[in-house]
Amino acid sequence: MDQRTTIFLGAIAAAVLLVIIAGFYWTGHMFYPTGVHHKHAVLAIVLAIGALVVANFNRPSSAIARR
Amino acid sequence: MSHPVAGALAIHGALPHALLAAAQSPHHYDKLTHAQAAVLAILQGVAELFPISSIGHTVIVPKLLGWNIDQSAATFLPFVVALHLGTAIALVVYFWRDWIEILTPMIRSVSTGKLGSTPQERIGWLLAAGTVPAAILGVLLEKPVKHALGDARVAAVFLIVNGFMLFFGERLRLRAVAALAAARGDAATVSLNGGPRPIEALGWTEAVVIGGLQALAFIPGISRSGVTIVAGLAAGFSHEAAARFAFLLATPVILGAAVLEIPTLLGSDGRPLLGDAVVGCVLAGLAAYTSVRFLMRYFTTGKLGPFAVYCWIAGTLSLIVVLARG
Repeated sequence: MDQRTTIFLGAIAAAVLLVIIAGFYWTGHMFYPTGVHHKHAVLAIVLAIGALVVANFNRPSSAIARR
Repeated sequence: MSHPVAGALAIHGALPHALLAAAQSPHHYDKLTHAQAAVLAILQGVAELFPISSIGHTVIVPKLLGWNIDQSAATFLPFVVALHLGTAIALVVYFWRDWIEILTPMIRSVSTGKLGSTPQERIGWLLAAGTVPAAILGVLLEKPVKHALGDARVAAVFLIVNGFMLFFGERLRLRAVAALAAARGDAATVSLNGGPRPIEALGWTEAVVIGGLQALAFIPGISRSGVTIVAGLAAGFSHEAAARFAFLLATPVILGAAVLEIPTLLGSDGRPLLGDAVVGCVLAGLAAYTSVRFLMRYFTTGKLGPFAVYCWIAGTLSLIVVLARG
């Protein structure tokens, strides 16, 4: 697996993890800080979008196209 | 027997239980007057962009003027949000050409899935990289730090520390310029950005570190723009480039924080202060626009020294007055 594919898969995994964290914050199931935190949830979603942008720049198909 | 004000509020049911509890306690706080709101708005607009700490000044000045305002009260937060919104709008308006030049290639790159090679696009991604740690640390640390250190004495001490940071920032720049010149094997050359190193030459790690350092500004007395300008100087930027990068980096953080709190402004807590909040937003915006305009001109030739001296004097005098009053 080349570096580009590793970054792509890592970014996708990070995006999924951030969406889960956002869900926990929105419903008040996150351990720090405890309680419902909509602002934290929104930030986690924004970061998940950022991770998807990183994944987009490292799509394996893009790498193939460059070669 | 309950406090009469608390009784009246309970009848109208206009304010939350936390404020009722505050009104019932012997330590209840005064309502913000229009004049106080105007002064705080102008103070916020100026101090947010000058490297002299807006949080420090909004903690110290009311204390010095004898205003009995609880800035951590639920009803005060919407007002603060409006002031930040005004400041962020002023920054966007001042740097609108820069933002268009930055965002256009970024959007194009995202849509095509290929990174471009223009300096503006690289600056955009550097700003994005710097904003991530600032946003995470801001959301997680802002309230605990402000709550723990939101005292006028602490703010005055850190204002003095801020002065030392600005003073040594100039030394760091001289070292960085000398190191860059030595690496090139020639005298320090001047780039298009007016300094030995253009903004787009910044590394990803440096951008993340500079962005993360903004979290220091949650300590009342430490300036966000001061920290980022000093970090930019240490990275080898000219004063103008460091200030430009600092203001561009601050814009998404301030705007994002304000936008996230807009529901608070429009909620039941915000309604009693909505008039003051709107006027405060405009005043803070005008003060911030005037400040950024002045600072960008000042930093074409000016240095951080005068701000360091101001922080030392203001911090020391504030500390003496606050300690004398007990």
